[in-house]
Order: sequence, then structure tokens, then C-alpha cells
Amino acid sequence: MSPEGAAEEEAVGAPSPTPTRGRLRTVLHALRSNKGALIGASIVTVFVVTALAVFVAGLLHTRITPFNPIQQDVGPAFAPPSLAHLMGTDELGRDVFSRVVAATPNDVAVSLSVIAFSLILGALLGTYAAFHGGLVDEALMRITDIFFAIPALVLAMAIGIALGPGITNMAIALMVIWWPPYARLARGEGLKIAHQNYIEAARLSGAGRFRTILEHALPNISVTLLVYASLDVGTVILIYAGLSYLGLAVRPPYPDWGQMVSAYQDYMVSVPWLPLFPGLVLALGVVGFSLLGDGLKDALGGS
Amino acid sequence: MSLDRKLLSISDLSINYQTEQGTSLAVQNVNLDIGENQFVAVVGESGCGKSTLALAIIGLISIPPARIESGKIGYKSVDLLSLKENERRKFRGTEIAMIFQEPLTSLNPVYKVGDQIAEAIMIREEQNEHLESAREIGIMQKTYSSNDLAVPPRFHLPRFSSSNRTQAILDALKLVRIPDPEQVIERYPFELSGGMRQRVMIAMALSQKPALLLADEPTTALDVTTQAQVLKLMKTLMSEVNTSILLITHDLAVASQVADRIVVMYAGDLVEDSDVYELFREPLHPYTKGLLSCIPSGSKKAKALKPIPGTVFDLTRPSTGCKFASRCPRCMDICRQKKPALVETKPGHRVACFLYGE
Amino acid sequence: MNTASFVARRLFLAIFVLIGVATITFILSHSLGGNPIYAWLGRAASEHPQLAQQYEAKYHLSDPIWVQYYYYLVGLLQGNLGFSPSRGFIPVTTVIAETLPYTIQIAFFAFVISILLGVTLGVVSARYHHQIADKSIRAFYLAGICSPSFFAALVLLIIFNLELHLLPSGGSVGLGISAPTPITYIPILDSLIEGNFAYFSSALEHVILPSMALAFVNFGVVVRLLRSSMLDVMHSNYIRTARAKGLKESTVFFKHGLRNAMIPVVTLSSILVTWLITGTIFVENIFAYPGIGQYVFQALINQDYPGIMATTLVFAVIIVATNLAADILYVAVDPQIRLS
Repeated sequence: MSPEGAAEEEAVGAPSPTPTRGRLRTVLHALRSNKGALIGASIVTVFVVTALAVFVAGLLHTRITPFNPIQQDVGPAFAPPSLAHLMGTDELGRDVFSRVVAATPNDVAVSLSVIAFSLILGALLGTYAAFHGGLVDEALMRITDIFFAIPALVLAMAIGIALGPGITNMAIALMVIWWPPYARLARGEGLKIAHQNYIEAARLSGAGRFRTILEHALPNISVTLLVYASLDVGTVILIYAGLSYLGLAVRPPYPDWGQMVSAYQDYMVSVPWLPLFPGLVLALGVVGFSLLGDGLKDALGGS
Repeated sequence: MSLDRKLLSISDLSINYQTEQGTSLAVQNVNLDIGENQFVAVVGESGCGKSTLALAIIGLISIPPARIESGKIGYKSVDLLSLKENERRKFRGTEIAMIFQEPLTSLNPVYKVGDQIAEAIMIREEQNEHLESAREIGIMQKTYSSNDLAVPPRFHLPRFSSSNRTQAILDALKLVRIPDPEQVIERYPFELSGGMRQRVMIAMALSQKPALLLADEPTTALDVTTQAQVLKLMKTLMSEVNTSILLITHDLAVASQVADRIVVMYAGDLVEDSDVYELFREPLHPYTKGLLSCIPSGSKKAKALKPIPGTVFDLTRPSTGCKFASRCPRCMDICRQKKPALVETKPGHRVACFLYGE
Repeated sequence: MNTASFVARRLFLAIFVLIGVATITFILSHSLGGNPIYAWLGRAASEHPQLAQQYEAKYHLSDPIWVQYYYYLVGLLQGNLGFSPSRGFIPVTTVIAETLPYTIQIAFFAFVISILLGVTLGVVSARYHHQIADKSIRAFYLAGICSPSFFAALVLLIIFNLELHLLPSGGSVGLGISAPTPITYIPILDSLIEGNFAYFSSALEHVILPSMALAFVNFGVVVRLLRSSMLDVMHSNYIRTARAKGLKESTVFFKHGLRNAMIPVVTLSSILVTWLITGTIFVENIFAYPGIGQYVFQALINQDYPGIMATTLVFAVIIVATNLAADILYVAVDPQIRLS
């Protein structure tokens, strides 16, 4: 084909990825009209802002919480919720509210980083497998099959004990196991578009390297992946909370929501609110991300 | 074909749809009568209201977003629109049946074909009992009793025992000329070809012995050869089974092959209604003439096809004059001001156009 | 391909996956820092030199790694999963045999509740979609799937045991009640077969709260699926045909609609089972229910590596088996897959 012909084919046959700015506006508009998404977005904002604030405060050696989260005896032990101690105090007289707030960066950071990692790795592996086909594709399918056979929590746990406890190790363990669904999803989407005209056009116009094809393909599959990711954040929080409950993440005296529930559980008979507060905050966080994810799905699914 | 034995008598029917773009006037002031043993084709472009009309007759349009603004649908002297839903339901299947365009998705994929036909037959059994009592109560007026008709009575079928039922299913399949019916009743819909599936749908519809069969584009999804076979089958069946057929199609050529009578609709209006030969010999409405000149004639001497200029009328815009005015080559001033009424220029030939009187 | 070759292919895949899982546990066992013997005897391996020697010989721990891998797999097939330090060095397989039936009990009831509740609420949501019933059901199941299982378990425990004193707080059965004779090795079932109603009713009492906790955090996925499935199905052409035949709306809804809408539930079931058995780790701990979940929890606390590796394998086996069963069941339920 002549150079002019090829260029023409690319011009005619290639639907350019929709201009991002215009799309963003339509998505935001759709989100604004969805009540659930708004509630979700507000909750998520609160959590993320709190996480950032606590983190920054920590860097600056100050705190934003009313009390020092690890300081004991700031009030009588097991004090019920009051104006001074919004969530009461625990067995060592520490302010529970401060502890809950201070633990926010843990879950937020872990979940967002795990999702980001899985998204990127999964997208790359999946599209590569879809476009390359053959042995690479088959290998990816079988490896992900193996990962799917072990529940996320159990595998993370097993990797966790090999690595040792701690929040970074748990994040690593989760990253190792979290990417397969994204790779499968990317592969599925990649297969759908692998033979469409604009990909062929791109290849013909000299974009021989897989890298460039991925640059054309990725923007168009990213929507599906992002929708899945937004709904997935909540799941990571829940699994991380489970690992934390099992004592594999942040160790006392530093606060972590799951770990706090586990520790306070023993006092449930006399002070039932104690384990419930961190649990409630966990549930609320997950609700927020879920509502936002649902809203995004509706907004992006429609367009 | 005397019209005093009116099977279906639609008077002044208007149906609107509420859409995001506004109120769409899907069917406007349609008057149509169908007698027994008639094969009537309603022809028109997409969106002209022909499907809506058919769905309204059988009572399957969803009431929001649709709304029946006015009119009556008289079936055997009963105004169907005045009935409550559970009464209306009794007319579905056993009196008025319908087959649709996509035979694959129109049959339930998880049940065998034979079972689905059996279900239709069983409904008929139940309905028999109901309709018996309905006649007794007098809902069906005496002007249309089974004694007057040259057709076999519909209300006195024997109760089916299981073996009778299987025989009835096989008979229904044989009726539509399906080879190996004993095999076919054990099949699932996806195992059959498109043509076979449509025959099954026809068999299923006719197994309930309806007096009126509505067929909404039944051959559009089929290839040309199969299309011809199915149409021919429908025509043959009409005389064998004593059912009237109302065929909905956008294809005037298809309609002319089988219909006795053709009704042309445009943008919700009924614009012409005539015997098929008469229509081809002397089409009256400019739209009909336009449609006829769109049919490829297949002969070497044929001139170029003449499409009708302009685009389809926007149903959400109310109109004061004739809706075809902007595309009509014979448009006059009065056409833009007043809507032409449907007049009978010759016996059996009605047209709504100012070219032919007030 | 017909059913037989389909089943054969899935079976082959299942075996491949299990070998893959065993490979992972093998790698993990060797990453436990120090001696791989820890994977068999835990960190207290030094206290049991005899056993340690036995293992070193049996598993060729001085030989190259691929030899060890081979003997590891052989050992697994022979049912050798190590000795459990947290349970007094009895074989891990014995512990699993003792605890698995109880987990099956909880998982079974949780599964049944999830499906029944999920399908019913899903159908109601679809029938009244966008109305109040739909929205309140959504709020309800959202609260469920967003709660950590340990949180739901605690809430239920606090409400039903601490506040209302309606149900017991833990254990699998009340004190002093005689156990049924092992027939199927699942105590609740055995007591029912045997007629041991004292055991049966007490065991039922004890299984309700843990099962409900598990069901509460999982039934939402069933509702979601069924709602969207019903809505899809009810807009399909064959539903229109069914109505055109003159069928009653309820017949159309259930016999034609629900029957098709339920098909994806089969696939969902295997995912559901995965989440249910993961949840038992927390729920059994809170309710002191003697199942595998509780064993995992205790193994973690006590650094019982053999226990953790073995339970990872067991969970994988359960999941692979469930997936296989679901695939086969799906073929039975959807004639298109069966015959094409």
C-alpha cells in the first residue's frame, strides 16, 4: 500500500481514543447526579484527606488527633464515649478515637498501592499476552488459574509468615497475589480489540513494536480496568483488615483497625463498643469506596 | 370476503410513547377492519407504527411509556381496550396469537421445543373452560356465535390426555411441514436452523388455534430462500387452519407475494388500504407509488431505482397537515394545512390524500 | 466437544492447578528462613531430633532442590503434611480430619442461607426495581458485603448472645451432650441420621450465629447477580413470546424468567464457597467453633508452619473441587453448553 493510502486508512479507520478532557467532564457530570456516588465520594474524600493529614503530621512530628494514639492513661481505662473521648478509651487508657484516626493511612495506603500495582502489572501482562498469543498467553492463563485456586487471604497469610509481619510485608504479599484478575481482564479486553482496524492500521503505519501497540490499546481497555479497580479497593481493605486482625500487619502499640478489633474483642462483654468502633470505621470505608466504584461503573458504562 | 363478519375492527386508535425527546405519536387515528380468512399486510418504513399497532392488538405494549390515547379495538365484538388485564390475557394465544422477528431469541433456550408447544396447547385447554363460561355470561355477543360460521367451532375441543397432547404437538409440527417431527420435539431451539425455528414458532402459535395470527416481520431475519418458503407456508396454512393473518413488514415485495390486502402506513397514519392486485395496478397515494418504484424489478430493461426524497417524519413533532407533504411530489397547499381523511374511492380501496376528494 | 471430554479436560486442569499450588507451598516452606525442617515441625524442630532426622532422610533435605520437590509431592500424595506443634505434634492430617467436618457444617448452612436469602431478595429487587424495596435491599446487602466478617460476627454475638441471651456464644455443641456415632463423620448429619435429637438441636443452636455471620457478609453478591440477571432476562424476546401465548404473569416470571436467570448462580457458587471458607478463619475464632478456620488462626499465633502450609493446600483442594463441581453442574443446567 502506498504511504498516502496507509495514512488515509489510518485517518479513516482509526477511531482516535476519545479526547480525555471531554470524557472526564461527562463522567463527572454523571457522578454528580448519582446520589450514591456522591455519598461514596464524600466518604472516600474524608478517608483520604485524613490519611494524608495524619501522614503529613507524622512527618512534621506533630499530630492532628486530639490525643497521642499510643500514649497511655490519657483518661480512665474503659471510659465510655464522651465529648472528650469520642470513642472512649481502651484497657490502657488510650484514646480510641485518636487511635482510629491515626490508623487511617495504613489501610488507605496499602489498598491504593496494591490496586495501583495490580492495575499496572495486570494491564501490561494481560495486553501483552493478548497480542502475543501462543505460549505466552497460555502460560499467563495457567499461572493465573493457580492463583485463583487459593483464597487471597490464605495466600497472603502464607506469604506473610514467610516474609514476617509488618505493614510493608503485607503490602508486598498482597501485591504478589492481587494482579491476576487484572491480567485476565486486560487479556480479555485485549483480545476483543486485537483484531480491530485501528490496531492493524497502527501496525501498518510502522508501529511495529509491541510497546506502541500497547500505547494504542491500553487507553481503550483502561476504562474496564478502572471500573473494576474502583470496586476492588474495598476488597483490599477488607483483606488487609483481616491480615491485621490476625496480627500480621501493624503490631501494638501502633494502631491498626483490624488489630484493634482483635485486641478489644476480649473486653466485649463489658465494653461492647470498644471492638465495634474500629470495625464500623472499616465497614464505612469499604462502603464509601464501593459506592464510588458503583457510581463510576454506572457513569462509565453508560458512555 | 364480506366485511359484515368483522373479526377485528379497529376504530380511531391513537397511541403515544413518552420518550426522552418528547411525546412520540406512534399511531394516529387508525381505522382498520379485518375479516375472517383474510391475509392482510401492513407495510411501511421503520417507525411508522405498524409494530406498535400489532402489539396493541395483542395487548403487549408496555403501558408506561406507551399510552393509548383513544380508540377501540373490537375483536369479535368485544372492545379489547376496555378489558382488565386478566381478562385481556385470555384472548392472547387462543384468540389472537403473535410471532416475532427473531426466532432464536423468541424461544426459551432452556426448554425443549416440544415442551414449549405443549405449554401453548395446555393454555388452550384452560382457556376453553374459561371461554365456555364467558359465553354463558354473555361477554361474547350472540351476533358472532360459532353456529353462523363456516369455520369449525373453536370452543369444543376435547380435553387432552398426555398421549393426545403429544399427538397434538406432532400435528402442529406436521402442519408447518417440519420433517421428522418426533426428533424435533426433543430438540432445543439453538439446535435448529433459522427457518425451522420460525416454523416452530408458527406451529406453536397455530397450535392454540387462534382466529387471528399477527406476524411481526417473521422473515426479515431469514435468508431469501427460507423467507420465500415460510411465506408460502403461511399462505397455505391460512386456508387449512381458518385463521386470518396480519403480516407486518417493511417489504412491499414480500407482502405482495402472499397478502390479499395491503395496508400502507406512514408516520403513524394509515394512508392507503386496498386489495393487492388493485394496489399494484393503480396505486393512489403518492407514498405508495414511491414505495412501488423502490422495488427492484430484476429485469434488464429496468430503470434506476427512485428513492423517495427526504427523511422519515419526526414523530415527536405535531403536524397540522399531511405528514407526507414535505416529501410528496404532488403536494398542494391544502396538504400543508389540513390532514386528509381516509376515504373509500372505490369499494375496498381507501386512501388518505387530498388528490382524491375531501 | 461432548460432556466426557469436557469433564476430562477440566479434571486435567484441576490436577495441574493443584500441582501448581503444591509448588507454591513448597517454595514458601523453603522460604521460612533457616531450615526447611521448620515447614514440617515448626520452629521447635530442635526439640524433636528423632522426628527431625526421620524427615531429613525421608525428604532428602540434603539433596538438590528438585529432588526435594519430587519427594515433597510424593509425600503429599501419601498424606504426609507434617506434625502440628500447636496441637502437640500430632500429624497435621489428623487435625484436619478432626476439624474439617465442623467447617463443612458452618459453610453448608452459610451457603444455604446466602443462596436462599440472596435469590429471594434478588428476585424482589428485580420485580420492584428502582422502587423502595429495591433500594432498601441494596442498603441492606451493601452493609453486609462491606463489613469484615469478624465485625459481623462480633455484632451478631453482641446482639444475640450478650444482649438478648438467645443463642450460645461459642463451641459446636452444648456441654455434656453425647456425640453421635460417626457415620458420615459430619456430626450434625450423623446425629440426624441416628435420631440423637439432643445433639442435633444443640448443634443447630450453635451453628446458627456463625453461619449467619458468614452469610451476612456474602449474600450480597447473590442478590446483585440475581437482580441484574432477572432484569436482563425479563427484557428478552422469549419472555415476550411467553406472554403472547397467554401465560399468567407469575408463570412467565418464574417458569420462564427465573429459570434462565438462575443459571449464572451456578458459576457464582464456587466464588461464594471461596469467600465462605476464608471467612471461617475469623468467624470460627470468635465463636470458638472447632473447625479448620480456628486451626488456621491458632497456627498463625503459634507459628505452626506445618499447619499453615497444610491448610493452604486443603483450602486450594476444596476450591478446585468446588470449581470442578460447579463447571459440571453448569453443563447440566445449560443445555446449550451440553450439546454444542
